[in-house]
Amino acid sequence: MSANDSGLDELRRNEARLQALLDAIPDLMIRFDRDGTYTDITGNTSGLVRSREEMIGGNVRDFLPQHVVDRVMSCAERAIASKSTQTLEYELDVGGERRLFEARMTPSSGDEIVSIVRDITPAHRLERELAERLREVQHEQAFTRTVVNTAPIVLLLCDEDGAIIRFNDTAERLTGYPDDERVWGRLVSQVFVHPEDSAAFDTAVQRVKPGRLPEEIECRWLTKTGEELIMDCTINHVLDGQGLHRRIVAGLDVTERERARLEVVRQRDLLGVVARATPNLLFVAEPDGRIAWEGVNPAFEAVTGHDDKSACGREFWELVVAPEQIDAVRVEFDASVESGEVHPFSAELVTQAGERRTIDWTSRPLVGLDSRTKQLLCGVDVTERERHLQEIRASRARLVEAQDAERRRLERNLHDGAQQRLVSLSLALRLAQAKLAADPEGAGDILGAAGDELTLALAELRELARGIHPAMLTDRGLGAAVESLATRAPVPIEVTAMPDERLPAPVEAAAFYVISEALANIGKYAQASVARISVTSVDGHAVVEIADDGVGGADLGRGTGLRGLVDRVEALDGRLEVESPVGEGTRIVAEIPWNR
Amino acid sequence: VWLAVYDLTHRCATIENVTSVLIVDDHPSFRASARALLEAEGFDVIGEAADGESALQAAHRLHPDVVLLDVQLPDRTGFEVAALLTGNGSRVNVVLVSSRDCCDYGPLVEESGANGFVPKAELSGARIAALLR
Repeated sequence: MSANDSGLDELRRNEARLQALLDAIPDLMIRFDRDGTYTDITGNTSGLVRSREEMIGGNVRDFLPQHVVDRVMSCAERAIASKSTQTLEYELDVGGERRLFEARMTPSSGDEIVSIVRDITPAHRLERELAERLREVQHEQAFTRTVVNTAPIVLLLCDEDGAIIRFNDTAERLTGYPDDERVWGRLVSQVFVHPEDSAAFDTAVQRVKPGRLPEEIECRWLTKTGEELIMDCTINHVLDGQGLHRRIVAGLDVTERERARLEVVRQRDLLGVVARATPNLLFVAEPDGRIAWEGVNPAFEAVTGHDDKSACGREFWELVVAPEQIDAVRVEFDASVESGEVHPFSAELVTQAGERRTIDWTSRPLVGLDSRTKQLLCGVDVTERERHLQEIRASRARLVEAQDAERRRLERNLHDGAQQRLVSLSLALRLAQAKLAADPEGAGDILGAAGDELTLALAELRELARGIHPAMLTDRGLGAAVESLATRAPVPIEVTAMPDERLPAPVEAAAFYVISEALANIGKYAQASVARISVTSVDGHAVVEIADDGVGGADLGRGTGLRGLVDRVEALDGRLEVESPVGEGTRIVAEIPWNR
Repeated sequence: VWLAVYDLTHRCATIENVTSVLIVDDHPSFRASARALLEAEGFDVIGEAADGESALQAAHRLHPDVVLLDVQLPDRTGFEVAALLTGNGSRVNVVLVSSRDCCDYGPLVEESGANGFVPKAELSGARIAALLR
């Protein structure tokens, strides 16, 4: 083999290696002249717009769109001019599909370009998808961040021990602590939780485990300024971005809700206390009259004898209302239900013990504890009031009757006494007058007798006037009037005490008549040997006491004298008591307030 | 004085046949005064009674021409006694007297059957005579 042959062989081997290398490259290799004529096309030809054979020898202007031709030739010129590789990306429709190519153009000589063309459509598409995905992720992150920071819920990320890693804007706003290194690493329980609740919070954090239900705890938090909050917290396990076990604390500020709830509870408790403490009868009734499950209050139970157990579910009129009033009460109750307004009515009830009580009822609509409209019935026991009113009416009637009787007595005394004497006197004077001329002596006798009659008439008139109202009492007061009474009394009297100062006139009069009547009774019935009278002024009361050592047995219920005294004293808001055991004398004590 | 005497004389002339009187009153002082006055004027006071029951008995026993009858008696009213005295066609004259005024009794005087009423303070023979039938 000659040297030429040997060199030719070597050249062929190199060309073969080069061809093999070119064949091994997965890209398309195109050589074209400076004027755009394709001189060779090898490699991956799937991206050619025509067949390789058609294109070799042809010009780029014959196969490519003008705007692509312009850019290709411009890039080729830059590569030749710079003697360096220039890169160009362009799009072509290949087989009806839009594809993206990257051409790396390198001048192989002064007039030829080698362009390595790669179809970058899949890579570009992937890149675009990745970019789109990245944007989506970024949007998602922004959305999540916005939600986390604007949701009205506190979110804290902490480690397994409860040390703060970060927290959201809501937590910053609510607590006043910024989410920074000053609190990172510190325990949630120490930064946010009220000292009295921190141990319970730590315990809840420790109980949180993967796969378990979240821990829930309601506890007090303290803001940076010391304001107390009530937080409803849920603590859950979470893995962070690095796969580390974390705890997420979600806390809802329920301070206002809790305060409102506590206020409702307080009000309910207060109402409960009032209902239990009030002396008024209370119960809740369904619109059909059955006592609702809310039941009756202690006052109702105390008066009627019926408790919740025996009352609930029963129609209240059947339970407690007097039988003859049931129909009327049903009418009143139905009217109150229909009107929806406060409705008063009065009805007698019969207790379990059979006692009758007079009750003034009001029925008013009420939203029950189960949110249903019912009727609240409130009853005021007016039995005693009515009894007192009747007693007062009776007392007034007795006083009027006593006054009438006294007037009758006065009229009778006047008629039988002084008036008869004056009539006789009148007749005697006319008789004397008739006899004066014929029988002067006889007329003189008649006139003398008439003078005696007149003296008696005057004495009787004085006694009557004293009985109407003793002038001594008016002019000189109770002490002198009682002394005067004592001098005319049927038994010896000891006056042991009298007030130094005058009492109000009505009080003195009442005291005087109590003493006067008592002395009259002593004279009539007591068979006493002595009586003692005292009048003292104690704590704004005149205390009048009359005691004798007689046979006793006096009874307020018998006769009108003592009863009249009781009425007179009670008319002044006073009271009178009589102690009169048989054989042990009688003691009457009247207490009459004088500074009303 | 003259008029009174004249009047008394004149009236006495008119009642010369009816001069017996029964005085019924529970007050002794009035009975005494009335007796003195009427006797001075010519009446014949034939009896006295202090209550209604004894008045009925005295009237039945004495048959007086006039019963001078107090309205207020201890046991019954003068109206009741007057009704009993004048019932059954009796011709007895009854003159009611009282220290009260006639108008205090309304129609009771007329309904009682009595001849009339004279206030005690105005009692005289003439007033009685004026009421007789």
